[in-house]
Amino acid sequence: MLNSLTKINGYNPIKALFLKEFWEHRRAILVTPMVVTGLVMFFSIVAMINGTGMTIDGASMAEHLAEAEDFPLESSDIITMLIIVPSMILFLVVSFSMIFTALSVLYDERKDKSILFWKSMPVSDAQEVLIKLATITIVTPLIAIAFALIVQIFSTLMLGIFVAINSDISAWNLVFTNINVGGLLMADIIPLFVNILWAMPIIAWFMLVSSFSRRSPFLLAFIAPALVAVFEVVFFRSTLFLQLIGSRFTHVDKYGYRFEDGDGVNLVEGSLGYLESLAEPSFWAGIVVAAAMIYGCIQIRKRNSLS
Amino acid sequence: MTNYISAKGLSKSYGDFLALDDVNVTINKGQIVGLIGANGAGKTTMINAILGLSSFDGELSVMGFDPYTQRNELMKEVCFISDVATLPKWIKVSEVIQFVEGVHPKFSREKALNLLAETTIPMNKKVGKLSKGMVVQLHLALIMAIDAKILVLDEPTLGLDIMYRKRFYEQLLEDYFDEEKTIIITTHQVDEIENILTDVIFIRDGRIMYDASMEETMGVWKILDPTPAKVDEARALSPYREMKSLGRISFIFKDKDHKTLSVYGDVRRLSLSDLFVTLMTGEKS
Repeated sequence: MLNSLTKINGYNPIKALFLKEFWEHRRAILVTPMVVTGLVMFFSIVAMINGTGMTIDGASMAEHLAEAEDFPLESSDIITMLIIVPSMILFLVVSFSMIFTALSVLYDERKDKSILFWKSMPVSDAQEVLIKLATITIVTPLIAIAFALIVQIFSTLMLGIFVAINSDISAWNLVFTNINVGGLLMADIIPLFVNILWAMPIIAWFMLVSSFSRRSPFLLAFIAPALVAVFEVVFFRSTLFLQLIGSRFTHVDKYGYRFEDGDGVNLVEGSLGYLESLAEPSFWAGIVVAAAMIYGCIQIRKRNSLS
Repeated sequence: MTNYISAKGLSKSYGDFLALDDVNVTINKGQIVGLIGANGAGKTTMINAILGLSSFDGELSVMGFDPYTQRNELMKEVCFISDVATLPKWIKVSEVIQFVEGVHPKFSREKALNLLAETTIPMNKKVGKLSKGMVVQLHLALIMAIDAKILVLDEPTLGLDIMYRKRFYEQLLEDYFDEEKTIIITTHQVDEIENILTDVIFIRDGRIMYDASMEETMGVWKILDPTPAKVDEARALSPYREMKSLGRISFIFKDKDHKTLSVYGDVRRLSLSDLFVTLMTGEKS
């Protein structure tokens, strides 16, 4: 299937541009989550063989299972949460992949002069930049979600085997038929993309730096904001700028609490709660700032092709 | 449309530095134009303006497009190979073929594959693993498989060995050029392209110093190697320039016919490099 997907037959610029980004950033987009998936699976097996089990929230698996049995109404979401937890590292890894890709995506093509080759093709700078943005904010997380699903299916099997071996509870009833598939998918997809949308100004900033930086966009991307923050603290005794950056993450606490609503875990409510954060004015302010920076990337790429 | 490129009062400055100064040029279909000048003369600046890679002042129309604002449309009709290796090292040969097929409506995969079949370039290798000559061959094969109207080559053979260089231009003429197309070449190796050019443009300090067809150039400019006895007589004809090499004196004449000159010695056609030196040093003896 992957083979037919990578085959281009005839004129199809959007597909060709996405594939080009995929080929260039294959390591960050595909290989990294693949390796992490392998490691997670490996260590779950090791943990199970060692018999130490997994500890989540300070409680052992057996304790969680016992709890799940006590609250049959909640057990579906608790069991589902148990299989989400091992896959969470992928969502952490994907944010690093996104940062590194954003920092290199408009820098490497200038450094190796390949920008002159891309520009010899009938593709506009706007198309190029927007597809780079979509690669970072849509393709990369979607691939990470696919790997998270693999980990989750694997964890379901492991959990089923664990229950079958270590308790008298029916693995079929407690695990395999008990998973809240809808809640699982929502929890996989919604918080990740809402977080990405909130972080858009940060991602756009990284792309902007990569579009003009002469060397090491990585340093510039982090040092410039750090200097602004220090400057503000020293001369104005205020932390407005830091709060501005922090504001991109406060929605997690503010809206994510509903995952543990009242007397248990609630995946559907928790995920939908994230969506409500999109109504905040500061979210839209961030989108406007991000759009302005992406427009800047396009203009800079248009002018700055010659090093 | 026979007029492919027309520039009127084309200028470009970087701060105080005027890289292009009031350039007026017309390039028509079916021409192979040599754009010749020293380093920093403005060749690349002019080419970048034509390709839509940089903004400019004045009027410039390429295939009816404003290159800077309509680059993506223009690139359906214009191909270029710039003076540096620009194919990314991380891409595989098979991938770059797919990419060009995907983004260029006038690309023929069949033609590209036929051209590559004549080389030893492996399809599954990355560009970074190919030799320098192979990379140029690959780039040329991709470009020649595109049915564009204008091809711009900026120092295309820089750093290639002589075998590749000769093959490069041969292939260009045999497999690519026809009277519907136009090729613009900049190079330091003037002698190499002299025989394939139809027109020549000399540029210095951002100004066009000379712009004529090769036919006209060869008709107007001649070089005379006078027999030792007739040196003074020949000098009396007021040559454009006098050259001394290895103790022999030669005269460069403008607008003197072959018959008049042949009385004094051997008359040869003036090479482009000699014409370049003659016009650019500007000394009239």
